[in-house]
Amino acid sequence: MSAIEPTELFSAYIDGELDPDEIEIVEAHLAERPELRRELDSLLRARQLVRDLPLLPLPDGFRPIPRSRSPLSPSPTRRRVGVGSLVAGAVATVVVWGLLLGTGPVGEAVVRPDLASVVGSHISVMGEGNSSSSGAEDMPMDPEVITAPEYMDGDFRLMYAEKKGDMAQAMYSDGIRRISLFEQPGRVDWDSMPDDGEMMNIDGATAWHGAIRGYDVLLTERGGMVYVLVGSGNSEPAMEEMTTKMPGADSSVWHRLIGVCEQTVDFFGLG
Amino acid sequence: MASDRGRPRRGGRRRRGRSDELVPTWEDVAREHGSFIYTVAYRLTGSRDDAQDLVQEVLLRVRRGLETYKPGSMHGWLARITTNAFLDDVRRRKRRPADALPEDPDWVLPPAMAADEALAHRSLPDEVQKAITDLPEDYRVAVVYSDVVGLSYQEISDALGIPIGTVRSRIHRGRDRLRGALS
Repeated sequence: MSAIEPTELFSAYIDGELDPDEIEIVEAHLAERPELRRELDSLLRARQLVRDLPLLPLPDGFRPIPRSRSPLSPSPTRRRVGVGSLVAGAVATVVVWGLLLGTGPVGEAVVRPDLASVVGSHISVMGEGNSSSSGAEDMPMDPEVITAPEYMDGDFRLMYAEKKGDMAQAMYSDGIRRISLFEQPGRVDWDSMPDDGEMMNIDGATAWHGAIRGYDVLLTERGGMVYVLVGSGNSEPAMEEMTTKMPGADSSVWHRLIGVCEQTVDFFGLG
Repeated sequence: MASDRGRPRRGGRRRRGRSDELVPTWEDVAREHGSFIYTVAYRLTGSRDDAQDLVQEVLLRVRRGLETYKPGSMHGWLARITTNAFLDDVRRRKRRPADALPEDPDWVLPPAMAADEALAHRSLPDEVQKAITDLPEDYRVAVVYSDVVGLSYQEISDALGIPIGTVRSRIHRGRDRLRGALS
């Protein structure tokens, strides 16, 4: 203790955080230099000012879910949250990519989407369960963390964004609900879609909508790209609006995804 | 300070932990402790917008972490998450200087006067908050932990993973600067 100035112990002294020997040192110092009492008192007052600060109510209109200051970030930024809990998701995502569309020339592969695995990836990214994907241990894992807009539809904040080859997944959450967006070049073998879903033709684009493992899933394709959206809840009336706002082919992958999904919050009844 | 105990809520997942206490759901935490989280976040950031963003981030982390939460000091746990999220954001901003918090060139110390007199006349919460916000992050976190959250030095040491002597030093230097800024 000899290297420490007794005044350095003043805060711990007034907090009752000193041992008896240290208290003795401080009090002896104060006895020798009574003028330091003033310093001690002002420290005490400074502490009290902070302690007297009020508990603040949540601002009016604040909802305990992510909100944005602007609808979308003007420049996409990289953001990852809870890296540790996302590792399993990254593994599952890589697997899903392999299972979702298979291999083939970009934009030409005709595939049978493994929607259970897609939903498994959606679940596992948030660390809420194990993906149903199989063979994860056998797959090479070199997903690329990519940039994506931080917000979707205002309230939904980016939680995860990775890309494997030409295939990308982004997950957004408002803190309670999540929605995953998948994009991959290719074409869908529509005959292979599950019977318990609903085939539809919206704005000239074929789509399938159904429930997989209790999650709401919409799959569609346009311009040689396959889009899968996974979320919870349902709001079919909004589907048509969503699908009429398909993005232009010249926009970036993320703006295409966001363009596709800009109305998805309504579609999934998440608004 | 709100109760650390939550009430059952429809749709929430609740489980029992040590001492047969019920672990609150995410919704319980948001509803019953949102004000506490926001207060700590505001004391750390000094900005309402940043504090709200921080609350969102904290609640996301809370939701993921509830499965491992062990019933005990809910406020201590939440303060720890809030502080970690704040420090993560500080580090991220430092890596990307364009996002750094703007300096406030208009903030100047008032003319000197006796410390006691100055503190007696300048105790408005906004000025105190401004003085807290101007502290270096290490000192700010220590002071907030101690005087806003009410943790002991040992608890702060555990939360930050630093020696208790460093906790003492940061709290004292933080308070000393507050005293100077408010005088």
